Order: sequence, then structure tokens, then C-alpha cells
Amino acid sequence: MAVTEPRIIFGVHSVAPYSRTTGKAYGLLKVIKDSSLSLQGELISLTGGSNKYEWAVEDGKVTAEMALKFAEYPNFVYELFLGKAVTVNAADASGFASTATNKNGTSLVSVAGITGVTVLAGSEADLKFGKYIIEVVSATTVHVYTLSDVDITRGADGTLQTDDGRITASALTITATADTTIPNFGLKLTGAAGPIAMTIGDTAEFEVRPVNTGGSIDVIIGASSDRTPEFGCVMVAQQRSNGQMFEIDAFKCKASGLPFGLAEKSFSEIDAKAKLLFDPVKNGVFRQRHCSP
Amino acid sequence: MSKKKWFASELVDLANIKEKGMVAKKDFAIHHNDFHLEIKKGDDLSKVPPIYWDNLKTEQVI
Repeated sequence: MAVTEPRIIFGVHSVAPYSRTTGKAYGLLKVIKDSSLSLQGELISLTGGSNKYEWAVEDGKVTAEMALKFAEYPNFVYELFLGKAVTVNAADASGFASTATNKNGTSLVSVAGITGVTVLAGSEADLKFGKYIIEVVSATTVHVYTLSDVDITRGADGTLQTDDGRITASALTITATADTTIPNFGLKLTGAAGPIAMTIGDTAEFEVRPVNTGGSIDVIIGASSDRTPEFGCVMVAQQRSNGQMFEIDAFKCKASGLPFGLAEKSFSEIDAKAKLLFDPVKNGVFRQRHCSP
Repeated sequence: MSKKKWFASELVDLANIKEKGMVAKKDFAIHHNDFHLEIKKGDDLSKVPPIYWDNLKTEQVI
């Protein structure tokens, strides 16, 4: 028998979590930094008498884990690692303003205040991504605040007027059944039937998406009903320069937790662990394949 | 935008205001779309568009 080329594993090419029901991939993780399998075995020893050495050793438990390190957030990772599917929104050709809802008090969004906030036709290009607060400052006037200026220069420049994110230079007057423009932000407030008589200090909140072609997602995490599913996972090493390919198919995995790194001048990386479980149907935990074309 | 429906009591109110004169009882500012008006106590308000008279009443400017 001739000497053979050693089987060498190098790098990582992709990780494809898949549905255990259909076999189809949820998606392929390509911005992948690490997907290493750890199989920690326990050896159970027998000692006794005056003998310093072990009489016998048998296999104990094996803890099988997958360390996943990747730097992208496709929709399916929310479901696999946080237990909640995202809501996918179609592209907003004219931008989007959510329904204003009362946050403090009840007079702002009411018959004595405003019916809501909407996109100002013709000024869609001025819509700026963010979460906004409307505050009643007198019975018929309001100020508007943003919770981030990350997008404040989109379209017509907005300006932060105060340290707490106020975007209105002067308090805006609300009149019954009439629209009031929020200057430079592509939005308008609509007065309710009136008479306008709001309670000072009452607030309402809403969110805005600018005109977009790529669509958007929205997800609330943390409900008691959120549950991560079991999934299969195919991991493939980088193809070597001599053509060798290496694949691991883990039949039954379970993960929980997903970090979001917002650090200075750094890409957010996910460092997650998944447990590999015994699959009674396949009578195993994972399958490994190697090929030298 | 629908037209405001005036009630008799409101018309009486407005008539009283016109009779007594539209004089600001306190400082106030109106900023509504392209209309901006800084009001000082004692200012003549007769030129203020009627759309804002309810605001002035509610804010106790008149």
C-alpha cells in the first residue's frame, strides 16, 4: 500500500443551518469566522486498594458543542438563536411613519390633540430613520424630539436644538383638523376634531423609515413564548489547494442567545455556542465526509 | 381638510372678542407651517387668521 496524502482540515467556508423537518437550509452563513466542533469526553476511572494506579477506565459522557463565530445577521439567526422570527417589510417607496401612540398621558393622540403623524407628500426624501417623541408644551403646542441623529442630514438637514434631542426650533401649533409640518423631517401632525386642549407633559412616540429599496425588518425579542428550535447544521471547511474538501453534518443542534456588538469602529461579531444532541433516527450526533478529488 | 363647523355659542364668543378688541393678554407664539407670529402682551390680534382664534382662546391669550 502506497503512502497517502494526509487528511488536513483548513479554514471554514460556510455554515448552513437546516430545518430538521424539510432538510432545507434556513440560509448559508458566509461571513463566518469559526465553526469548530468540540467533543469533550469523560473517562471514568476505577481505583481501589493500595494500588496507586487505576484498575479500569470506561467511557463517560461526551459533551458535544459547536462554537460558532460569524459576522452577519440574516433573518434566520433571530429564529435559531433568539427564538423569534422577524417581520419582513417590503421596500418603502415613499418612506414610512408608524402610528403615533400615547406614551405619557392620553391627551396628545386624542380628539383634543392630534389624530396622528404621517409622511408629508412631496417631502419623502427628507424622512430620517429614527424613533421620535412628541411632547405637549402648552395646551395647543408641541415639541418633537429624536432619539438619534444618525440620519439627521438625510434630505433637508435637520438640527438638534437641545441636548435631549429636540428637533423643533420653536413649539409647533396644533389647530383642529389642520396639518402641521415638522420642518425638514418630511412629516406632518394632523390636528384632531378639537377643540385642541392638550395636557402639558403628555408625550407620544412613533418611528420613521426613510425611502428604501432594500426593505426592512422589525422584531421584538424576549416574549415568554419565544423558543429556539432544534436544527441541523452542515459545516464545510475551506477547499484546500490540493482540492481536499471536508464536511460535517450535525443532525440535531440547539442554541440560545445572540450578541449584538455596537463597539467603536468594529464590526459586530456573533460568538455563539450550540449543543449537539444525539439523533435517535440517524443513530448518531454528526456525520463527517471528506473527499480528495 | 374639512371646513370648520361654527356653533352659535362660538359665534357669540367671537362677536364678543371683536367687540372688546383682539388684544393679547399674554405673550404667545404661533408656529404653524409657513405662518409664524410672535405675540407680546398688549399686541393687537385683529389680523390673526381666524384659524388660530380657538388656539388663542384655549391659551388664554384672548
